[in-house]
Amino acid sequence: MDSVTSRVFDGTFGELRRMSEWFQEVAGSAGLDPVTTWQAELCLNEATSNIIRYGHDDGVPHPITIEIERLEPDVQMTIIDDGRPFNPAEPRALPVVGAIEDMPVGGLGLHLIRSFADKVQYRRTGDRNVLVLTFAPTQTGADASGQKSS
Amino acid sequence: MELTYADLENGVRKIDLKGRLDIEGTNLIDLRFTALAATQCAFLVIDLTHVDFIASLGIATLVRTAKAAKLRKGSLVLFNPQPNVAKVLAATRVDQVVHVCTNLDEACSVVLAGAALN
Repeated sequence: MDSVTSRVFDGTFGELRRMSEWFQEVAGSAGLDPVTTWQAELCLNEATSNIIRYGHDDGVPHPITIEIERLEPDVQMTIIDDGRPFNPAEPRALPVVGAIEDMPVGGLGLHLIRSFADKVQYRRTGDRNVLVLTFAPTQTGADASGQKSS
Repeated sequence: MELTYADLENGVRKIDLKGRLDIEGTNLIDLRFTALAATQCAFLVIDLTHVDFIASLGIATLVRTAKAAKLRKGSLVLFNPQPNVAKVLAATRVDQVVHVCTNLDEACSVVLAGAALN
């Protein structure tokens, strides 16, 4: 894999599968292990779904740029969009619920990103959101459940 | 994404899902899945054996269906999730409010017992 591999996708739900397939290909070329590949793909899926759903209200697809960089031993994924400012790194605790009736059905995607990425960083650069997700190989970056410790 | 189902002799409806429960996959099965679960006193076992990826929208569909089943005096149990799917169920704490079983007989017993508690 080159130092940075990137691709621009249309910001539509129909592009999400293509995005996943592309990422799997890049991860495979980089020799990324299957568990970390799955965790990163899940976070990519959740982050870009969020951008497509909430980033704009003009009904027009906007481009989303994905950059993948192998920073041995980690993998860094940068997601850039021109939607309204939104910081997925802000902590939002998942409520503790005791019964299915109280279980929320919204906000789970952001929680998954924070659960499975080792580091979540956000900055606003000009009119763009820049989300940087870092993943460590599973043998050092996850506990036995596969969830990150931070 | 594929969806098939069978009504077992013990009164349990077993719904088998196969594929990816991402946005595309969930949208493909959502209407039919909801309709199959929307029966009075639904005892539902959702077989996740062949689901290899689940995103938050798929989780939301399962949670919504479990809530609906309980409202109708029924119950829902998740059966045999693959490790990656199980990790998502754990991370979202769904496994704390919905039973997850790895044995079909146990899943049927739990879903029928859960219904009896309502």
